[in-house]
Amino acid sequence: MSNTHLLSAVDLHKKFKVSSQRHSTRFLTALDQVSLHLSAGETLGIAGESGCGKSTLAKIMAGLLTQNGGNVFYKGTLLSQLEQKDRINFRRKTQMIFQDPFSSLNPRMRVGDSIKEPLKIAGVSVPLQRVELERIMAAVGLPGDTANRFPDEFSGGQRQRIGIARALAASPEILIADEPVSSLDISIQAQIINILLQMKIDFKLSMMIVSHNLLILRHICDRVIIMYLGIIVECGPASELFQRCRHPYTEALIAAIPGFHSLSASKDELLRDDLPSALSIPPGCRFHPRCRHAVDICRHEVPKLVEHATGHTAACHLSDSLYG
Amino acid sequence: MTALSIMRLVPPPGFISSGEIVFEGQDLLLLSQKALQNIRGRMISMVFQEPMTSLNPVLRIADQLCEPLILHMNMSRRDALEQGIELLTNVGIPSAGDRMRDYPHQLSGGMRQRVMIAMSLACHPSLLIADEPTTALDVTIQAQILELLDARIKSSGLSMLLITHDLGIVAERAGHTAVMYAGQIVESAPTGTLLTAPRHPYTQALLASLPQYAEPGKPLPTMAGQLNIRAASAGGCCFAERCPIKTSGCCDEPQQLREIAPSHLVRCWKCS
Ligand SMILES: Nc1ncnc2c1ncn2[C@@H]1O[C@H](COP(=O)(O)OP(=O)(O)OP(=O)(O)O)[C@@H](O)[C@H]1O
Ligand code: SF4
Ligand SMILES: [Mg+2]
Repeated sequence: MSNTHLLSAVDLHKKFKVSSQRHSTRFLTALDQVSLHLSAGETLGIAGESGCGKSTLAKIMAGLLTQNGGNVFYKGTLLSQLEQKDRINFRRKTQMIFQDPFSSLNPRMRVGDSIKEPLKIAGVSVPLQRVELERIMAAVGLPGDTANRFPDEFSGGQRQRIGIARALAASPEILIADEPVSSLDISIQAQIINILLQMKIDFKLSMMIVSHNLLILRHICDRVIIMYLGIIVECGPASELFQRCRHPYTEALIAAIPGFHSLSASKDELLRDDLPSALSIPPGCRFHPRCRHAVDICRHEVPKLVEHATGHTAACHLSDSLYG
Repeated sequence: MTALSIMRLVPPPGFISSGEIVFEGQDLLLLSQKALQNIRGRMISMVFQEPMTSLNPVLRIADQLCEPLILHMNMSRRDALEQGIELLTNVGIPSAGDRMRDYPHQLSGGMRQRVMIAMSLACHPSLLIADEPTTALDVTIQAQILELLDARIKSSGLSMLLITHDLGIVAERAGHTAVMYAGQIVESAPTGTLLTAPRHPYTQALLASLPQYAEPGKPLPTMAGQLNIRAASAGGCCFAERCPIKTSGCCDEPQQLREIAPSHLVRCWKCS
């Protein structure tokens, strides 16, 4: 199965060591048995509670962080077993846009040079580099005369655009973007979204986009994955997921979109206020302490990710009875 | 820049060229650095957009969170620690006691942002300036934090200057909204009016480019050109360069902010 997909992951597990008062070491489970795939030309969205492991997943898929269990495949080959030249190829063809634009830019490098770097690595001639730089900077809305400045002279939103420009300069085959537009104002957000949509059409760019802005995911994604405390709780075609979700957490997320009152139940009824913690994961369905539908079985038995309609999976014991 | 200048934190070479910033009757621009420091730490508090640049990477959360409590509220270290855990819990950080020992890089992006918010509320400020306080947070936590801030606004007379590009949040939380372009307020109105009957061409264009109204997968309407501060301050209307309804009269002189209806101000001579 996995060899037909551009990028796929099977049973990813990731834990982090955390500080502890006494000398005993504790581990935090950031990802638990996460499997997913990205097909060529597809845009996959990832949403979910803060701290549920989205950035961790994005970094592992980009080959920038190693998992503790499970595998990542690039065109059917284990990422860790790619031959040297394929590995370099993967590095070049897979670009990542980071959530925190400041920490991902070299503060001592002029932004023009930062953006040009991938072009240089790809062996583009110097005059052509300059032309490309100008084109890309204009495309993401950065004034051309700012190329000689350093990152700390830019606003948060501008830095984010520098990161986007840098990723796009590499003409990637796969773009993994962690909150690419959340720090941008609306008009620039719209411009960037249009660029991504266009690149999808022109170059069959495949994208994995992490965002908590569900309206943006609905607009640009083919499929959307909803995560909760390190696992996937629902995954389905974007059009379907927003119209007819199949997990109570997704329902709560959709209801909480500011200015988007499409569901009958009021927001307050949808989520109980027990805070989830990756340091102490509840038994059974890990969403049960906050779920208003929880029944006995939810407290003991882990619900499996089950396919309810073509390509639409959800991990909830009551999915069928709740959502038909 | 506005929020930074209220805090008088505008980094050089930026400076405040004119105007006054009045807080509880005092012009902040006239205060001494020392008096300002006191106001800044205690009465006016600020949440920045990029938590990583304002959190100290080599200090544990506990130390960063407790410092202002010990410094401004004269708390003992033990009380400050206890208070710190409560503050973290209030902003939705699970296992707050354990998290106190973490360094910033061990937290997710959203958690760092929540730590910033907890720090900003620590000393019971009377004005909170929040610059994109919830952009890195998912919608449920976002709602929870805004709820918390709302409760503070109601219970302890906190006022909030919320700077955001998320009009959904504006719609739900703000009583009055000002839209800025190139350093100027171009429209200011009660939020309901602003969102349903915007008058300035910039506000109108902003609302038009939101994804909620577009057909999935189709390009979103965007504004021509990009913000160019030099062109915007060249005289004439600051938005003229990109305005779809610009005529020759627009470039003659800077536009004034005029009241076209009670509490509804617009900086465009074509709106009446
Ligand atoms: N380097 C690290 N050391 C220890 N813990 C970490 C590290 N990086 C992440 N974590 C923890 O792993 C969990 C998942 O973090 P991650 O950054 O993937 O979350 P996220 O879903 O991207 O959240 P957000 O929406 O807030 O960005 C969190 O509990 C976080 O504290
Ligand atoms: S399995 Fe039970 S607790 Fe979990 S989401 Fe479904 S109904 Fe709620
Ligand atoms: Mg993240």
